[in-house]
Amino acid sequence: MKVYRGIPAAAGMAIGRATVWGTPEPSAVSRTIRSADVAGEKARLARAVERAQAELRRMAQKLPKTDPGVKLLLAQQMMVTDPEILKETEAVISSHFVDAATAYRQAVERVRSSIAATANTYLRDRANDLAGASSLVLKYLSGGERLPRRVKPGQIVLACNLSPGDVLTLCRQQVRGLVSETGGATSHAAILAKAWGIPAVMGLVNVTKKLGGKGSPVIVDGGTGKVIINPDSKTREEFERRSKREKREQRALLALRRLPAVTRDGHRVRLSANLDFPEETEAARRNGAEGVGLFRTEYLLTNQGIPTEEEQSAVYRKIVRTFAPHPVTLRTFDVGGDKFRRGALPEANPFLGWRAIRIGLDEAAFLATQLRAMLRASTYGRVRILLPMVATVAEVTAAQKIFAQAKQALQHRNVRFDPETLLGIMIEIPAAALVAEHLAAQVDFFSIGTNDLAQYTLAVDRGNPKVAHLFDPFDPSVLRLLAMSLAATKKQGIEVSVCGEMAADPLAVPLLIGLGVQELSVVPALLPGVKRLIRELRFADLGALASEVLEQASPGAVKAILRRFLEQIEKQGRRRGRLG
Amino acid sequence: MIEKTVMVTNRLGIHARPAAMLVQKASKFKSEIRLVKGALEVNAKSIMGVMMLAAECGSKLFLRAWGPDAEQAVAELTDIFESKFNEE
Repeated sequence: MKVYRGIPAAAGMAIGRATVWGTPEPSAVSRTIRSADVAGEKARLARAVERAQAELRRMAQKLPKTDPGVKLLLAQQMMVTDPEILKETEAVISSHFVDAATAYRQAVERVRSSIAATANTYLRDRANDLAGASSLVLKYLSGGERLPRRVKPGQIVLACNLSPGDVLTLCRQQVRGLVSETGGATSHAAILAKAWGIPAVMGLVNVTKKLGGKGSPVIVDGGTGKVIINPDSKTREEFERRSKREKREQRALLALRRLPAVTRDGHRVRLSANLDFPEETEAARRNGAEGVGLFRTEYLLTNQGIPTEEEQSAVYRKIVRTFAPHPVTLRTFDVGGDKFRRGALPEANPFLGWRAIRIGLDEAAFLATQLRAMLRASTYGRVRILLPMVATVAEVTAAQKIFAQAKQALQHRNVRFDPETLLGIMIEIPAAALVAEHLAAQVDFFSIGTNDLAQYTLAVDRGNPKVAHLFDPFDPSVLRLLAMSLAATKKQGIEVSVCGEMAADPLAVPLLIGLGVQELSVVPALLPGVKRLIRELRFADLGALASEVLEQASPGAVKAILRRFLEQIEKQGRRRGRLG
Repeated sequence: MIEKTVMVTNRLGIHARPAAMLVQKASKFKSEIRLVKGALEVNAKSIMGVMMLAAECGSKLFLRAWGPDAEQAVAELTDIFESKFNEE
């Protein structure tokens, strides 16, 4: 039995038969060939070069024509087809009787090292471009994209690396656990594994080589990052015990999927999902999401630049369609200046700087493009458009003007959209909460970002280890701003949802509902837990709870009251045989 | 063989974009085409070769071509040099 520790990427425990999966790194071992094989190796080389060139061309086509990446990909295409390198490779194949990959590697290395040694810095950088281009050829020479085999349900996959696409494929095939040599806790792949509830451990270097034989039993503990190969019987027993208990809880939670999020006295709450990537959609639906309370669009802004209206609308359309007729809330880009403009001057205080709606209002075309793309999706389902980091009434007025222009532009082009598409704002800046009454009269809905609201209000950076402990969304100051915002929505008759972490916190859920929140939007994995809690509450009790909480002077006192309340609920639930 | 002297007159010399322009143009011809700078002679159809010339502004190069379309090749490639690779 061997115990290894990697990075915990997705909590949960699983035991299964291990299998190594995916394309291994191209082998660096040289093969001797016979003279009869020389022509064949040269042909393999030519084919690999063709495929590499085609792939580079495809990547270039995906980019906007003005993107600097296009020039790089063009240069790499030329490197890959460089006649001198190919001539030398063929010469080595014929004279040394080695395989194409070895010969190619040699030829490329000769060029690479002569450029790397030059005093010309510009030229030295090209050595990297060459390395990238040539590795593509080597990939195709070593068999290229070998299609991954299907996994048998119940297997634990060990891989060199797992792309988000890989994780999606494997989860659909009911893999039981994932272990990868690369990746981290917050990688896209980890987020997906979490969304699917598949235990995952990442960053375990060389794990694929540690398996004794194919099909060895492996335990994966995603919560601690432990991977145990060939567990002994004592370890197995302990695992079985813990895992049975976890599975029982999971099953009970999933059974809630089809049930509505309604309190015992009939008060309905909409439970939606927060999505960072469209690939989390399936997990959200599986967990019973009634729509998307927050779709973050930032992932669309990659190194390759800003996506076009066409590209964006394709993404939004897909999500809106998937959840129709439930509403999908699309938030406009909430990014800092650095993502928007490469080489922009660094800001001393990016948190308080040029980001989100501020960029949108300065660069109206940028915002208008996204709004048009979102409007186009509105014919496929219910779309709500959400503006981030709003602080003032004037900002909303300006944004609404751009929104109106976006609608006009679409009308001009005879493109259909739903004219009733709702436009709302995030309440995360204290200024907005303080003038919530005016803002609620201007917009169609609020979405409260409790994390950022708490940070701005308490002037605390959660990421700063020296003060992170001061961050507390249950602080009376934050709760008051929340209450103000909610009161304003009630007065104007507009909807309000909460999409911060608080929405999934069992301590906060009764309070939020008591204050009048209509929608809670949480990460997919937490949906069943929140629903279970809601179904145990009596709405009639929650108003008094909220009033009592708002009178408190410290977060400690607030949480004590909420904790007591929660304990009561759980006791009653157990008595009714519903919980525990 | 056709041979012609060409001067590199654009400010940044033969960096990626000019190199790509040269290679793209040269690759269209059937003839064998070489670029010479001092002791270094490279295949004008090889991007790595052209880049390795590291020809800065002010360099004097020789363009040599052998083959059925050698004259045309030299003429068109000279044009590219003279137009400063459309950079200025």
